Amino acid sequence: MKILRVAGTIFTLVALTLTVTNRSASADLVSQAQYVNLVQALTKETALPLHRQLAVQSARLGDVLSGFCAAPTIQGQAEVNLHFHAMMDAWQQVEPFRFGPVMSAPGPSRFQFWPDKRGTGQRQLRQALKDQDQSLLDSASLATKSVALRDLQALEVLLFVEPEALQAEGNFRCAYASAIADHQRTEAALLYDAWSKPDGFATELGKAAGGTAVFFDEREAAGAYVNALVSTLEVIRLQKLDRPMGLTLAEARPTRFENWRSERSARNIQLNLTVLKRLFTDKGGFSALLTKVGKQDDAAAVEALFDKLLDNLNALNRPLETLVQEAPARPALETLLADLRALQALIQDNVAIDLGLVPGFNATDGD
Amino acid sequence: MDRTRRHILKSGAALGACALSPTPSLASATNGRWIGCRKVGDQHYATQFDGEGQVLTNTQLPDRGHGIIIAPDGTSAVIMARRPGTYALQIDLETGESCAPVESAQDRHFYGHGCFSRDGALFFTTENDIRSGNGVLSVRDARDGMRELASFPSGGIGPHETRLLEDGITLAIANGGIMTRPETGRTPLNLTSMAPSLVMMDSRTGDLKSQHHLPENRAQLSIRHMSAHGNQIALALQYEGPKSDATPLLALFEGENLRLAETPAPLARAMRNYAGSITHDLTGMLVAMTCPKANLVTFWNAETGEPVGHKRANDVCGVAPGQKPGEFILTAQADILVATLTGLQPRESLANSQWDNHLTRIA
Repeated sequence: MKILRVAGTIFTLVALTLTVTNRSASADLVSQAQYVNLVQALTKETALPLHRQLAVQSARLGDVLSGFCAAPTIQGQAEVNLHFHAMMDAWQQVEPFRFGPVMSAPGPSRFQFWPDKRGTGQRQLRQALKDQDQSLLDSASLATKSVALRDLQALEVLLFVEPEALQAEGNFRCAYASAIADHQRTEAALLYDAWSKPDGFATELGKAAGGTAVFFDEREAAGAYVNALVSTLEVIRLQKLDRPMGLTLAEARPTRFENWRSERSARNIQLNLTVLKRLFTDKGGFSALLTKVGKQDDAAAVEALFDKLLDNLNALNRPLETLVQEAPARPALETLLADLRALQALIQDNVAIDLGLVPGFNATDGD
Repeated sequence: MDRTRRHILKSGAALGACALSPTPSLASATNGRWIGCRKVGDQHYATQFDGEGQVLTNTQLPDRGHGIIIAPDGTSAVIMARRPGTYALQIDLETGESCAPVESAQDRHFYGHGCFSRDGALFFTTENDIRSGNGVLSVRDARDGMRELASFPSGGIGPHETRLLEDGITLAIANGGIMTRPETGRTPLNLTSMAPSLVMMDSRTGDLKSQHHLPENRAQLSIRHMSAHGNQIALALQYEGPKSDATPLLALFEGENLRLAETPAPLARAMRNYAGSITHDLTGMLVAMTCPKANLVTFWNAETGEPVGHKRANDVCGVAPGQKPGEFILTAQADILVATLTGLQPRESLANSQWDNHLTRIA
């Protein structure tokens, strides 16, 4: 049979070599030690302190809320709101680290279930409030509920929609908010512990070079930080800005912003970007490594774009939720989108290639 | 106003309403045709090309696409949304025009794959029943807007690729075993209790004729993609256990038991626990399986399951049979490549493109 013969010939032609490596040409610019140093620096200088900050802020919020619910006052409520913002600030600075322990079930949505494109979470929350479901007030049973009933978006609704309802003595909303804050305290503490314990994720990142249960090698660990940069920039651009803006002013939807109820959607973007910039500028970060391999121009270009974006966000004189509906503000928002796109391209097309860390489009599990 | 910022879909009038070209002329192309999904900027397309790598049609998609299934008469294709997506889009292969996208039911989402009945009248999709988390095989009327006619339990969690076998009756279904929920996106929720399986289902009744598991200590090997040729099914796996385990990722099935292809440890380690796509060549004697995390395409003797070579290509994933025995077409980054055991040859590169997971041969 002709076909058989052809295939048989092919089989015998091929010498079986099993010395398989995973290096591309551009990667040889960077040594194994340099990858290891980068990963260890980013972990120690940036990731660990920010995870610790989340644990600290969530514990404070839990304490303040339980005190407030026991004896509600107007001043106490203002203090609760301040601590909610501090906790959200801390979370938005951890959000970019989309790898490691936070990715285990149920994923980052345990902190923030957003975007809720189908309105599933909001439906669940409305029903829970209507039913005054007492099982939500117990931390053990709350932990088994849908993430949408125990995350920061749910807490935002409780604190910022009908805020006067929290003032009533012994009200359900306050007790529920307090239970969510306590649950978040536990989640944040567990996440920090998963990173910081002796055999935790920070250690795992640091010893990736030898191959571990979590990383094949040091490049995969360094790649996790590159993926965090790229995926966060994409989420900011597409989910946090483009989607609420709509294609035209008429299509703008302020309620599609991440935290429109507490009017902090622009601040979230600023904090995300601040952390991403720190991955470059913190001691031993991407800029230092780029400079070592002669790519300081790319480092400077990235830092300049981060600065431009942060300056332009700072210059917004009113909340995004308001500006998005105003024609004169449109060009400024379009500029933000364009700069976010340019920054993502710069990191994907220059930085990742400079360092041999190109994120694989097809490398996502389960496709 | 920036109309290019994101995509604007030209959709048909009624849901699923569609008129497809009755007389294809592209079908006369002699050097072959393939179709794959690709990302250009923020937009997603299904792109058809010929044996020279020249683009024939380009169809905008509502969102990221995944599996591409050709209708038995070769005139149209269905693009399935990437999981947990909710659209199925039928496109005319002659013109590239699309019908209005069909949406999954409110309490379901698609898993990215499907297949036609032999006469093209029915279309089978793998779906998730969101409430229960159980896998569903949905039977749809391909000639009436993909209206659901029946649905059957798939026999497991996370059904992924499905193929109609040679008898025209049996559906092979890969139950990946990984539980996800829409509110937690793609996060796996049951890694410690996974039970992946390959199921043989009677497509007329939904009866499970047989169910096959990997050995018990391999329960974290998710069964996801398959190629069927003659009486053989070749399965591409992904391993959810420790990365330090060097695990085979190819399984073969000829009607009795699933057998794992014996894989030398260096090759198993190099494949990085993840196979993305798989196909037989035209003869069925050779299998190509891509490992995008490892930037690797691997070749196997289909009969013995022995590895017979591998080649490196950055972000390679889409793979389909080529025009000759022993030949494959690959998509990797922006490139279309022709692969044989002796080497990879670039055919064409499409500017600013990123080819997605799968590639399907049309003719």
